[in-house]
Amino acid sequence: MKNWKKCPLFLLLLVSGLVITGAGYAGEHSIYAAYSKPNGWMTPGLSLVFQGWKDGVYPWELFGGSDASQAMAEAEDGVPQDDVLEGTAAAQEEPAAAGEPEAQEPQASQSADNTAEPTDESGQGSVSQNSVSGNFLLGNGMAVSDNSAPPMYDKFGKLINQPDTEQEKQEIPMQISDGGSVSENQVPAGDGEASLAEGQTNAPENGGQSPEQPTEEQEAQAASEEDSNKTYEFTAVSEDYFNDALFIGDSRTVGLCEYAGMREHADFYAATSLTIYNVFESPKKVAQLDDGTKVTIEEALSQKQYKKIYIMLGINELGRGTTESFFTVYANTVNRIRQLQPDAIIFIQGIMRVSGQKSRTDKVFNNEKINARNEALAAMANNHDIFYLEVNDAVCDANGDLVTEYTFDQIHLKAKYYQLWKNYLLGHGIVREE
Amino acid sequence: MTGFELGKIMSENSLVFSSLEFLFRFLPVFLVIFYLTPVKYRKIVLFIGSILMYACGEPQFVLLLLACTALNFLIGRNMRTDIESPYLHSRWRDKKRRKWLLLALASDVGVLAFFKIGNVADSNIFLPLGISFYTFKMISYQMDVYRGTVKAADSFWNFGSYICMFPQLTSGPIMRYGDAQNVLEEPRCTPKQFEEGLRLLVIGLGAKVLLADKLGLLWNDIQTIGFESISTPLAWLGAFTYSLQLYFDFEGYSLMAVGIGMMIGLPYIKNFNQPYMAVSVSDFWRRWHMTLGSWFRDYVYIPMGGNRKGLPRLVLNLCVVWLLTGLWHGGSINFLVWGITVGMLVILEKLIYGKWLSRRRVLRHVYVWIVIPLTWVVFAVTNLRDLGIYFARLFPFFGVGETLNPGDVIKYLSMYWWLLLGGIFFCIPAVSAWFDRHKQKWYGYAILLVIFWAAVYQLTNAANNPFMYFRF
Repeated sequence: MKNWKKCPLFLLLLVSGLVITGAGYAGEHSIYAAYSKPNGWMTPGLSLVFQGWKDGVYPWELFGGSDASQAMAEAEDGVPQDDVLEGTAAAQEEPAAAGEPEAQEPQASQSADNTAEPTDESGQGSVSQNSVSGNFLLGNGMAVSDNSAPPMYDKFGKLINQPDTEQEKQEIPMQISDGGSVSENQVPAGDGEASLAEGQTNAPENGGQSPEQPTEEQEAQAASEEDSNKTYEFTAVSEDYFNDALFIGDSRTVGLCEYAGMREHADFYAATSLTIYNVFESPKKVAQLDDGTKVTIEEALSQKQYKKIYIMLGINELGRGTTESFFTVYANTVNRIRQLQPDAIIFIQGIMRVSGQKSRTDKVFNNEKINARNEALAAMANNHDIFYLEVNDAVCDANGDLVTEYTFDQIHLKAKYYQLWKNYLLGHGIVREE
Repeated sequence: MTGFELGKIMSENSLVFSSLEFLFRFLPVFLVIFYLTPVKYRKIVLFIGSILMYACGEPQFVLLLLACTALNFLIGRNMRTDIESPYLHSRWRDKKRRKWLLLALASDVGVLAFFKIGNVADSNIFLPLGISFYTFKMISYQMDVYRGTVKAADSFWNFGSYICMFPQLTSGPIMRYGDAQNVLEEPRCTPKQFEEGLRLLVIGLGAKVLLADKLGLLWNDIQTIGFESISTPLAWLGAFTYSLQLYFDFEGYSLMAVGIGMMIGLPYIKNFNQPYMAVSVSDFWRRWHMTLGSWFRDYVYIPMGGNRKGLPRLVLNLCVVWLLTGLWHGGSINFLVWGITVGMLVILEKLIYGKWLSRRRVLRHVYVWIVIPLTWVVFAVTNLRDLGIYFARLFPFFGVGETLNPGDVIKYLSMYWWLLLGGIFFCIPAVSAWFDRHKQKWYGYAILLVIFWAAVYQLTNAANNPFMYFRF
């Protein structure tokens, strides 16, 4: 007993350790049910208490009755579940959003049948014109990749000298422009071939009917429908393009803000560890209004209108949910942004991949997962007011991994390489005539 | 093998002091078994426990460790037999024990050099955990036996537990056999000593987990940005932060090692003595990693003649010592540059400006605070090209690199200012003196308790839990 008195620190640590361990095991199946011990029995039970503490689940809630503890357990466990539940609801909502043009498709073709369709802004709908314009657009699409790509990499090409990535960069935009330009005149149906066929069948009709004068009413109606279905091509733009743009994202977008010199043009609502799950209700107020007040992104979006909104989220979410649940939450977010910002073009940027080294060794952060999720994100694009940007084309090697030299931590670009990302965005602007 | 490689060990080996598994599984179980065992057999428990722990970290190198230990034990005992033999003529005796010493040195230095050089030449050869430390302990043992300052161990368990004891196995401090032999014979510990050891363990854990690991994030951030793009103020902030990180990392780990040692009865070993309060580079190295410094002094510098053989020889001796110190810390070329740089500074201080500087009460501190962080940058950046870029950012007169975000230093200062202030605060001698005086008060214990559980909180939530991955 005398000896014990000489060791107060030891006793304090021993007793507190035992108490915390006891709390950990006592709550293992209640308040700490959502937490796990990564190394099994080698991980002390008290680690549960500290894991919980981080999320605001405190050990004294053990005595707070079952209500509190259940609520807390759900706080962690429940979010992904909620997402799944919401997912089903959203899955019904989702087609409405992504499929909006589809729903109008019959109408559109009807109107094309019944009325002389005012085709392009040029107002000329002859077969030859149509095909010419199609070719022109195709050519233009290629011009985006051919003419604007070299200057954007020239400036940087010296620095990196990566011929194979450059090649890939030129190929991909061509593919995109191919698919996109085909449906230029028509509804943005999912498969380009169908719309191509329709486009061809429509075109002669248009040509034949063009002499007939449509009533003004019909014309206006058709024009508005045409407008809402019109798809657009990526074109090269200047930095001023970003003057009415907003970027939403995690630490990678923070890097874009800090190191690509875009701060004076665009607004950035970005923060480290922002996710699609908390983008609107992030506890930190990441958005800043023009007068300097900090608000949540949702508040900011309801106060200021943007013409372009770029989103890059998804890396932090990789350890959570499935591709499907991620997609539904993402789609909900896009829908909400659409509600708040009716005039904005929404650019969904594919999740930037990680380096090959990281991808091969990490069970959570690997490119297989990223690609699966990107594929889902790409399906959200309607090429009318929602576009998908495969930013990875600008920063990945032939294997589709983030180029090793571009990164130190295998996840983030080094500062000077954010320029590649920015250049990619500059080469993929959407200009709508309004 | 200080901070830099220590960091690598930490990330690769699951059984490091600052891990939940060590603190709450290995250590308590070991201590209970250790103290339940009769005094005579405790060294065996220590030996077996240490080997088990080593096997958890690097099973492929357990045999190497055991072989080196056995070989050195046999050589030491043979040397002792020769020294004590009454039948040998003294000159014959000297010749024989010199042979044994050469054999021991050749094998110990050979093993160390093989892995150090091999590691650089061929990336498939890994540096066995703790080899820099245990070979240095073996060399010091053989030299001491040769000189007759200690008696060679006559029990393998004594020697084995001295070399392999887990507190010191991976990164020191480099304890001398003379300090350990009596304790290891019959390890006992007074409650007071146990308590003091525990206190050091808690302080060390706090320094490592709450200061060093968090300060390390800034250095990581700077690497993520890429050296070529940082602003000059951020480059300097990085150098200072890295200096603090390295200190708390290594000092923290040393304190934990010493604390655990004291908890099994070993004496206190001082490995750091307020190094950033030094007044010159030479003084700094008398206060930093003191057991390594005294090792080089006793087994390299003084045998070569120290400062007693004239000026040219003194310069040569210092050059050799610092070249070896550099190489010991790591095989890559920057450690060579680092060793030469520090050696040059020490020589210049001895020959040219040391006396003048010592009379400048303020300037000498400023000198240390600027020069030492710069040497640590050389220590930290293993690639010479990157090192050049970093120095070009520190001294931006060469047009290398480009500041991409002039406000970066503001951002990182606003993120890390409290850690930096905390780090500087704990470098002030008066703070640790105050803490020492009040360690018996209730608030002294309360502070330690908070430090310990805060560190455990940090450790828990830094663990690889995929659901904790919201960090990018």
